[in-house]
Amino acid sequence: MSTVSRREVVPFEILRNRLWAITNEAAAVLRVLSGSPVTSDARDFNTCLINAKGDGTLMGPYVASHGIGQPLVVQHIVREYQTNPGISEGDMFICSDPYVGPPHQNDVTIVAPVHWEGEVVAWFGATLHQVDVGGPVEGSQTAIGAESIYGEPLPMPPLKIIEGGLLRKDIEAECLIRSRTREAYALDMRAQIGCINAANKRIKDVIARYGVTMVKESLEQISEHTATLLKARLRELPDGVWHHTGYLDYEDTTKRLVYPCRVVMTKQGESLTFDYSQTASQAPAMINCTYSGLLSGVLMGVFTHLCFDIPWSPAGVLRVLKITSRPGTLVHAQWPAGASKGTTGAGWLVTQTAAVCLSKMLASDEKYRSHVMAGWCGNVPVLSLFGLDQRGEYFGGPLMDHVAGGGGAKSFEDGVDTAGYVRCLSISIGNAETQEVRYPLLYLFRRQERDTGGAGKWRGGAGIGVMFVPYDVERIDKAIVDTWSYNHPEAIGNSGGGPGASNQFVIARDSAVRKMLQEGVLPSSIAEVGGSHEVIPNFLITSLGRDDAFYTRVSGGGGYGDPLDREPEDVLADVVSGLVSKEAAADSYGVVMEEHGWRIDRSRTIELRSALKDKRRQEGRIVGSQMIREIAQATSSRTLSEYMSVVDGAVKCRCGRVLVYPTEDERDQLLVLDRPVGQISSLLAANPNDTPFMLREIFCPSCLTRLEAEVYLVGS
Amino acid sequence: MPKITALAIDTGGTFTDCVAFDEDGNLYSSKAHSTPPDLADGVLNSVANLAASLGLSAREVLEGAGLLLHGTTATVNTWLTRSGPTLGLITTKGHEDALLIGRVYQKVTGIGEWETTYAVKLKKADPIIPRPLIKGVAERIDYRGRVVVPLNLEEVRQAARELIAAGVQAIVVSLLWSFKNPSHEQQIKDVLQREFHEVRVSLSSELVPVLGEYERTATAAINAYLIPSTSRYFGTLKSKLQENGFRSDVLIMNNQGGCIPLQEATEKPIFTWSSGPVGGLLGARALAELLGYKQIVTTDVGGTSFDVGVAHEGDLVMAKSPSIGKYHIAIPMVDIASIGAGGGSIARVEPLTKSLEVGPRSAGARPGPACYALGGVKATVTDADVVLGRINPGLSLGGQIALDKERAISAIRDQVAKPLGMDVFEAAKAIVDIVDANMADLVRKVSIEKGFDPQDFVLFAFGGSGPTHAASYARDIGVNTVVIPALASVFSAFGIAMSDIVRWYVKSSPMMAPFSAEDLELIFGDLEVNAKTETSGNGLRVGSTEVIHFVEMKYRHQVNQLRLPVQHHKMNVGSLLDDFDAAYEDNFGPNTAYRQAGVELVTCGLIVTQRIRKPLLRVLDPKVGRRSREPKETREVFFGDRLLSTPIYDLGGLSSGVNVDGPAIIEGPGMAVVVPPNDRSFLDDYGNIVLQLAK
Repeated sequence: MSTVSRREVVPFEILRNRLWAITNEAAAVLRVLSGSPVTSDARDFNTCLINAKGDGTLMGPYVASHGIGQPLVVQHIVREYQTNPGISEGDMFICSDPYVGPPHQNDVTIVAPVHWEGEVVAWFGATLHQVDVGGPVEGSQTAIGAESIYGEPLPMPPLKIIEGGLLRKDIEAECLIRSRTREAYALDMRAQIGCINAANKRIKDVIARYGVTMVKESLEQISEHTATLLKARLRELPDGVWHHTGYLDYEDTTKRLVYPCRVVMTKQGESLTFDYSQTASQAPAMINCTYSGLLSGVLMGVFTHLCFDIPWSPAGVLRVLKITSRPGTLVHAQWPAGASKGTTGAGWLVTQTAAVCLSKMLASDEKYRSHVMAGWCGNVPVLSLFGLDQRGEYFGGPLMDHVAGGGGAKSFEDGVDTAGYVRCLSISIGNAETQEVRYPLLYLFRRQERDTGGAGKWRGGAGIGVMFVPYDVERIDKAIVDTWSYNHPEAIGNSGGGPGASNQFVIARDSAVRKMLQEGVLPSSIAEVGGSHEVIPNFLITSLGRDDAFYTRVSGGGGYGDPLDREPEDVLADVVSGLVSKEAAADSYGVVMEEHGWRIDRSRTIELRSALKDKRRQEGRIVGSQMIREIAQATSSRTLSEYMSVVDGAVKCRCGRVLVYPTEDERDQLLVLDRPVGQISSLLAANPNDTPFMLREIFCPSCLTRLEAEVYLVGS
Repeated sequence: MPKITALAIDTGGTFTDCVAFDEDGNLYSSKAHSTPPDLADGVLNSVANLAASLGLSAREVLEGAGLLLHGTTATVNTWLTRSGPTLGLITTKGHEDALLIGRVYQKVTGIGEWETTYAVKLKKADPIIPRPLIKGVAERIDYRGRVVVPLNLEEVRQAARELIAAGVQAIVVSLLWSFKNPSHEQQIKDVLQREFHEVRVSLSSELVPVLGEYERTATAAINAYLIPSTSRYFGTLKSKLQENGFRSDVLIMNNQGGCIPLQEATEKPIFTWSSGPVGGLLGARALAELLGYKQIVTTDVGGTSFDVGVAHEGDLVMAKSPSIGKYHIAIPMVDIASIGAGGGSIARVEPLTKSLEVGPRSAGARPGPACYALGGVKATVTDADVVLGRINPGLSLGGQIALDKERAISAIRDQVAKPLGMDVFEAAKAIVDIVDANMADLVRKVSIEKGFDPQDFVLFAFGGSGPTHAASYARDIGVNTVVIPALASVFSAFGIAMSDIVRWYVKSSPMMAPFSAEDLELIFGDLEVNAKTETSGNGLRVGSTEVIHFVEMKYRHQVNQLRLPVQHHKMNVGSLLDDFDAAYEDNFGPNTAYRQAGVELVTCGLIVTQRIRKPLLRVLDPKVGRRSREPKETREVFFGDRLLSTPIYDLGGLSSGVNVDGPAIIEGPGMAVVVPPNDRSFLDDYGNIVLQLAK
């Protein structure tokens, strides 16, 4: 364990705060100079302070994946460019190659060495998501149809964009020629350079004041401080093995494929291993992530679930983690696999699956159960629009509404409604009014969508529901859609809580919206607007006519605990607030409302809850419990979750029933019910009648409490 | 016997401060305990204390005073205790959830950066209007103000009936694009006032006609929420003042850099939110004008927070996206940045890594630092100051009669010195060094964000602990000159005394270049009508009125908005674009202007200032009643790495022009100014202590 020496206490604490302040301030400079909505609203940018070797010491408070990508770029430069082209004072390198570091080609990264008396003391990096970096499709990332990276925007290896303080025109031209939005690209690039210059100067001020040795030592201490605290946390948590499988679908108008992403997480003492080697082989499509995406995906799960009060030093966390994978897989793609959607695709799923395992571990510890979060919204559905606006001018970019997914339920309260996601906790969306100035749209509604939060004793947060029509234009030329968590829910519940709703996009072509508006009617669902309805596969490039209504539903968070344990008053409050329908109140929670008014029918609620439990008993089948025995045998904890304890090697339900005996025993049994997800709720899949995914519910055969609810692919 | 002509009273969390001035410009001050929930008593007590110190009765002072200016935390109390009325909201159907969605980032609004990473603790606001009391009605206006769906008045009536049946006491109306076309909101108001006169109605388009339905609605809702309690408080205050003989005008401090008549503050209490810290900035601005300082940064170090404000040639820097609690709001508000660092900040050693953290947790005023002996046991910054000898335990600091040095020593010894293997002085010095560096980080951040170089500004330090720590954090960021005002311990009240009547009128009107001069004239015309009604209708005796016209512009596809003053009567819309390009590069650096994207004008506004009579600060007579520079005692004070025998001066015993070189401590009412070795200080002509820091 590393501790600070007595002499260093004060400078270490001051430098820790000051270097953190420098990293954050540089991020603020970047945001202000860029001024683009992607930076300002979506916060898709970040800065990182990196040590001389290329370890990410500190990162700013924005999208966390850049805290991995930038150090990887530095490591590449340090390894490959030492003598040719050389690393000199006043140099900066630009890079967009996901096989080097940036999460995908849009995340243009610039890094620069900080020199002191001829020696490289540290590096500083700045990344932001450029709206367009070229390639066949507007916005660059949704390279539908590309079977490898050659069909995507061509990545850029690290190039020396600034040489001895001079911006190289040839390299700048090489960057700009790719982009459909060159002015914005140039401006954003200058913002990055300005931000790095500001940070570089501040770091040198600090070196001048505290000495180069002390600053180098502080960089080391900052990472070691985080590593020490994380190890201590791990020592407090129970040992065990947890696993989870998430799914990435790839469906366009011609094919439908599903790629499982499997992780086995092993915690032993102060070590924590994530093994992704059983994940599917890489896809001949843009959905893979590179090694950079794998690292940052795991890191973001660990940051939010274990480092809530520990400083977020990427290198500090990586010192503790072990991440294993198989090159050539969905989450560790090898050249020339496509990766332009690796961020909201495979990289996202890595965070999601790591988080599920981490939450299971936290749930198995009585002290840390208060830190469980069921799965937050699944992979975000992105809609980008490009075309001519009401003034006849070119516009384009992602509509940011899609970030407003639901937060995972906690063990003591509901998940946050329209929460955003854990990969960037400070994300925001624009006002509907701002959007209507920016884009030729008329929003018909924008709301917290009913029944999207996963059912549970504590409900998952609701996702957003949005519908608009093009406005003041004849058509919008390009509507580019990509999403996952589309035909199944990816936001998994914890301790028997149900999954949050899936994403969904629907277009009502030639709808009656305009006529309805003329008649004074504001439609409140896409079902009301007529026209012919297209439920969009997870990738599509289309256009929108003036009467085409576009509906987006964003996935909700997973629930916590058995929904039949939820206080009926809480269910009532949700019904009154429009977050749960009366039907779902009855079907999922067993709560019956009086026909008129907003009151619970108590006696019918008791009857219905008991009937729902009977149904569990009748429809379920009794199976052995090998899986739970394995988990119980691996754990050092006295509990597995809110409902299950481990006593003398046996697993007991909260009702006292032994579910699993220490050795294989014929009495071992659980009640299991497998149903297609679309049968449970029409909101769990975009096409509820045509999805290959099932929900497996596991109940106690005695008290009929729902202990687990997991999603799986038929045949897996 | 002095004749008091005006009173300025600032109610804070713990104390109510009063500053008064007489016909000759002499200033007097007093303090009383704040008296929640009946804050008016504390106000009266502060006047009584002031009167007593002058050998007068409160009635004599109040009868003679021609003006009373007042800053209050009444709104903050209502908010924190959630003691406002039950509100209902009528809004555009389909957009009922805007206030709850809170643009997603409501869950991280108003908390420190270090708290945003604690994902499991993130929560949205406890809704100021619960969802069942939000009713959507059929109506729609588009971005150009055209009616797309006419207002359905039957739905309005139905909504009102349901809300009133549910016990709603006031209804807020906030519709999409109402700032562009307020006709639907007006129609709703007419119907509600005609048919449902028992409820109070407020319209978002009347209070804040600006773009952005979330912030506009939140602003209108919070204002409506604050109205009943604020109006009760102001009513009580007014009648108590009148009972005690006061017959003149009461002005209330606002958060826009001035004050407004009491009646207006009653209708728009949101404008008085958090106005206390602005008082200090106004006081510093007044002194800076007198002393010829162009750029100033103010630092107010209280028990729990460190507040930083900035003024550039008299202009106060306004907040980019102000918030109240977890809600972003849409009124222009003076920017005061804040971190949890102050006298009450707790020092703690991380047991595993042996690192020493100071703040952001605070012992506050109660139980407070260990040395307060009020039950607090945690080692704090004030305890460290006492251990180091910087604060005299006998000093009445923030009203504590005496500080218990033994408790300070044992807290620091046990909690910091022992775990780190240090002696108690080293440990106390470590605490002070770390908190000073944290404060320096915030000042640097604020000044850099505003484009200031710290070497170019003068730093003002006040609040209970500011004078003790200023030399250290100011030196850290490269500031040369620090001013510790004579009235540092009642500085917000002093600032209130130095304020004018200031009102901002803003209206959003998004338009793309090329702009039409006629459109702009129309908007400014409307704003001027509003301003005239308000500024002339209150019968106040005011001096000259000054109006600044401004527009806010941005490049299309960009979000940075800049405020640009304009000559509206002979406006040249062509040169407006050039002015904008130039201002943009001024603010954001060369090559950042981006004309190709197109330029958008977002907001038009007026800043209307009505001058009121202020005290003329008098130069102290160096010969009268004051003696030369004799220390009252010497004491051992820890500087650097050792105890130095240090002269202690009494501020009241120093004459103007006198130099005091460090090491020294100058003790005044409620403050201890630390002058470190090698630094110099002098008392200026107005009784302020000016520190000149060595490089």
